[in-house]
Amino acid sequence: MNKSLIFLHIASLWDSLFGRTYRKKKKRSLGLKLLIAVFAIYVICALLLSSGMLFYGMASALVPLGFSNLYFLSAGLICVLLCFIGTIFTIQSQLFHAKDNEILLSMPFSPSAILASRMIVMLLLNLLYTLFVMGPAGVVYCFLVPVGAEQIVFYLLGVLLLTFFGMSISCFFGWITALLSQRLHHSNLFSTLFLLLFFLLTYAAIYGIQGYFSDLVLHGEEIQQALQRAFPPLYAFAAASSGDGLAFLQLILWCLLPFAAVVFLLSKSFWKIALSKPLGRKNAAKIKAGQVHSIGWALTKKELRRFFSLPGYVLNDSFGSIFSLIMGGAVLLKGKALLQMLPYPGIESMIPVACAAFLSFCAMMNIASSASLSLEGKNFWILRSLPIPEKAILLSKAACPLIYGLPSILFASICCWIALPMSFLQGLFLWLLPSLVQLFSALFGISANLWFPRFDWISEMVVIKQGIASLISTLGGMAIMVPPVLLYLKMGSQMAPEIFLAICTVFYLILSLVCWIYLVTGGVKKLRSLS
Amino acid sequence: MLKIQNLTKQYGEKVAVDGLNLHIHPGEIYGFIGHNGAGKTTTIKACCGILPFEKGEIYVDGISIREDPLACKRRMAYIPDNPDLYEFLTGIKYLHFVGDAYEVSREERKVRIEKYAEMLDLKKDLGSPISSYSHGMKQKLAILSALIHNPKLMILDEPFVGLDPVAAHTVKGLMRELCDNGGAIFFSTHVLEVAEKLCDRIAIIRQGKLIVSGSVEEVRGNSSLEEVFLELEDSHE
Repeated sequence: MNKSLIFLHIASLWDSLFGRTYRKKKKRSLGLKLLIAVFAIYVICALLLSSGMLFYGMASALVPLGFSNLYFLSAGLICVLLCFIGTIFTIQSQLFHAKDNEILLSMPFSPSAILASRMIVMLLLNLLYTLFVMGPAGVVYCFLVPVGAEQIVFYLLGVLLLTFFGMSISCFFGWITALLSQRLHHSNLFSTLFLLLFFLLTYAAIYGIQGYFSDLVLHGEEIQQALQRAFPPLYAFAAASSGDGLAFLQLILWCLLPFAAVVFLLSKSFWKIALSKPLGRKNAAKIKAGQVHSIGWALTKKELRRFFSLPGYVLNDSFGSIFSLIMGGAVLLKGKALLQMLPYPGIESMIPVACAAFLSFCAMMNIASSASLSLEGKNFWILRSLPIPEKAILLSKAACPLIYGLPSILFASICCWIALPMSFLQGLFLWLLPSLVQLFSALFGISANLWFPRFDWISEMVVIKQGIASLISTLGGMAIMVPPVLLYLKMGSQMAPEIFLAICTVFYLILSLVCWIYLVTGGVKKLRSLS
Repeated sequence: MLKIQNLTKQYGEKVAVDGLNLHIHPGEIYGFIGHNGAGKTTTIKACCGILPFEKGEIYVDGISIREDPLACKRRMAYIPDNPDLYEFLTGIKYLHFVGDAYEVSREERKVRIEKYAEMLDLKKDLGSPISSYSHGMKQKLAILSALIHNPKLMILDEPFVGLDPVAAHTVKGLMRELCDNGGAIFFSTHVLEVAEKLCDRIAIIRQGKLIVSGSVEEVRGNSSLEEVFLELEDSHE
């Protein structure tokens, strides 16, 4: 395998994570570099800490009762699922839909060398995800139980092997979705639904994990046996982590054999899939006069078409809407049961605030606008050459998440209003506040993308998942939620829910206005300067 | 129709276009020739309002592109050297999108799409996604979309790359038709034979500076355009 190929793809990954977003000949100032470094360290620490807290809760419930294997098995399961969620789209796009596949295949590299070099880089990415989960899991275990050097070595090697196992699953599903997109006319819709179902099941499993602890403690033995039957590779990992040498050998087989099989499968079909064009129905000309649209609506329609044409884009940037719809449905169906589960009386007054907080958080996850400018990529010349005001371009990009975000907020808030005890005014704020958060999130996303655009991507997922603008939109949006949360913690008990919701509504209205004013003034100039 | 006055464009320290002056009149096909990196694409992108420039002025139909870029863009059409179009749209949807951007009426749109799709042999493919198009088909679609609003000025960057001989012939005919109706064409090319046969006037640019311009006859004299081009390149080295 050619080393230059591996370096090329590592450089590409590094560039997508830390590279300059818009190629100017200016160098980054030391202050900016320091700021980025501090931000990166903060994010890494926050992720490790939250992972550590999750495992501490799990370990303190399971390990004292002698269920160490169950602890490692659960950690392994979380790790594999997170690796899958984190890398499935990157693997699919980098392996099969990378824009440089043709140029690389025209060079004296064998398809298997290209595939292998890409897979090594994806493996590194998977390893990174694995370490974020299994690192804290291991540290927490060592903190609670004294362990020997042999056990540590088995654990570390086991984690490495688990990376191969997670990679095999992601590659297999990536291969399936790539095949689907090659063979089906509505492949995007099918892939989106297929992956959405899988994601929802995964999230349900992960979010329900705390609730399973009591079951685990009560029925640990039976659950352990059930999991052993269901996930033999993970059980082998768990047993190996407890120091079982034979289980370690089994783990090697469980992880490396599927990986070899997946590599074989992919290398057989890589050329065909990488060079295939999407199945296009040959439509004999049926030129209708067509509907004449305003420039704004034509641009918005174009944005929506792009959004729904990329399953990875839909699934990454519309989780908020999906969760809002689920929440609405759950409240409508199980509202009374939920009310009975409230821990102490008098807490009902918190319901409107809690619902608004959840829906607002969901709205902050609908961030399609944060990648939409970068996604123009090589098509950017079209918008620049057409007689379209820059303001219309920016606002159409902000409109996209509003179109799929606002209806789900409306649905969820109506469901809450019907099924939960709240006044008309509270219900109104329950709809208004998340809607304004959604507006702010859409405007903030496109503003972030204006400052951190990236047009030279080789795969859409690079800007959707790894783009700085997406990261800033997500984390920045959450950081902006801190003042309202602090206000509630400090003064929530002293004010009526309506008052608190009204203050938050005004807060987000002001933020949205600031973003709007920036977009139509400075944002327009900024867009004009990008070429 | 297109007036370039003292145009200067820099990329950092590098001067890509240096004090360029050109004037393209209505009814003219104007060829823009130069070696790779001479500044042709930079000039073209500046004329289309895609690239901002440091010095000089560009007028389209008497309107400054700096002062009123939208009015200029409404009068012209641009076709880049590499037609990267929205691959998630079908050909017809892309055409309707461009039609909406230029505010072309329903009827005009229908008539023009039918006429040019027929001429460029693209009618049967308009319902297919652009992602399934070949390079030549994308080039044809870009040309079709450029004609949808009946522009007064067409600016094309290497328009014949990727076109088959029949399509290239059709495009040449369309270019002539647009100029005969009072429009103007400004295009860059490396194919000197095409420039020689098709253009009314040509300009040769080297390292951002205009070397020579005038009618094809004036520039080539008794030699071929290829010989003149090579001579000029040598003499400026």
